[in-house]
Amino acid sequence: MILTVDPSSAVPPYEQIRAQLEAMVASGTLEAGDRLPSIRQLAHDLGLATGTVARAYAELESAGLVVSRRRTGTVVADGVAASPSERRRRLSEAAEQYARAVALLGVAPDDAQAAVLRALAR
Amino acid sequence: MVSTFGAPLMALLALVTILTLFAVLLLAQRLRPVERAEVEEVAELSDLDVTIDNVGLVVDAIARTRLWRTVGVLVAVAGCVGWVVVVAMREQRLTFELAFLLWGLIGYWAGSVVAELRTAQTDPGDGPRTASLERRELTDYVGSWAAVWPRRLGLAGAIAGALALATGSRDPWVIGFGLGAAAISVAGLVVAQYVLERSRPDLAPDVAAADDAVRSRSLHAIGGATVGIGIWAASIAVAGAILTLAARAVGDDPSVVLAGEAQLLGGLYALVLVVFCVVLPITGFVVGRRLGRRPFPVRRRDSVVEAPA
Repeated sequence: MILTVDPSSAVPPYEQIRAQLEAMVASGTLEAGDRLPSIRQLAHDLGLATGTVARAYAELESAGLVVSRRRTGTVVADGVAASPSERRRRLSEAAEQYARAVALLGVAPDDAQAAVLRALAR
Repeated sequence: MVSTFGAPLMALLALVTILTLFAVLLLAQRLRPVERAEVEEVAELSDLDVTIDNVGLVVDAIARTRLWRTVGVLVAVAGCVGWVVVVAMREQRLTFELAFLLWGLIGYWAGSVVAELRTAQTDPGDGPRTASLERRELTDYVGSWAAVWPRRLGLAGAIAGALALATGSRDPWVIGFGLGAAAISVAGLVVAQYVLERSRPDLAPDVAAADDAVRSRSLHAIGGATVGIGIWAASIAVAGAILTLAARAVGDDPSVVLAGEAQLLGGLYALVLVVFCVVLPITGFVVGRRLGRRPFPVRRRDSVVEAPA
């Protein structure tokens, strides 16, 4: 499993980490009990300050998605993977957001669909 | 001075000259380009497939670690020679102490640590950065001994030092070796954690395997030296604690002890000194060197799963 962070993005790095980990937990890619890398390991690997990764982990912990323990480090919490109906609901919500953005930009539906397919192919 | 010292000074000069020549030759030999056999040795110990893309990483690591380890050992040798010179000047005699082996091991350990500190963190660049979510654990790179034994030896040293203190001993050697065993154990574990957490962006599988192999060999070298030094220091601290307890058991005035008991105590003293101050330290040196060269296959990387969009 790979995390990607773009420092030039308008989205803060901690939020990029948090959002990707949240997505992995919700999709079941990360399962309950899976251990996340230590804060320093992930910070060094991504070339970020440890505080950045610590903030992302803290927000995930506040949301109940992960649990930090002294002996085992940060692990994915039990019962947080989304059910199939929840996944459908979130997908539908994301699609509606995207549709609104497409409408605001005045992009043709075919072009919008092509953009989605390109993004999915990446 | 020659007239004052005579033969001992000449012997001392000869020793210093030989050791200096040895040091220069060793350093020159260690500065030579990395040879194929050295890369093959790392590959064999770590079960690594060397490729055109990952060989550079292995060669760099070999060159860096062997240079700094040699420097560490040479600094220790220089210190020991300095000690021999000081003793010769003061007492007009040549001395060789078993502790010189310990200083050599400490020099090797310190050189290994410097080599790790001088391993550059990867420059992440300006573009998007990627990292694996695989948590790197010590036991992925080295046997469980590297985590278990330093803790045990550090604990043994600390307990022995504390026991000696509690029973009234003020012997700085016992307390020093006890604290030393605990300190080297903690330092060894901290350095191991540093090596584990050193940066490694997501790499191609063969380069990642080479990175794992390099980390594994570094952790073996540092872990082995830590265990070797720990056995040495803890043994002497435990010997000191046993002798202190024995001395306390016979009371403050050993003259009241009967002749038979005195012989028994003398035998115990000799046994403790031989076992804990000679046999175990030498065993620690040998064990530390062997653990540092123990084979350990690197992990196999599975296919990558991207984060869902």
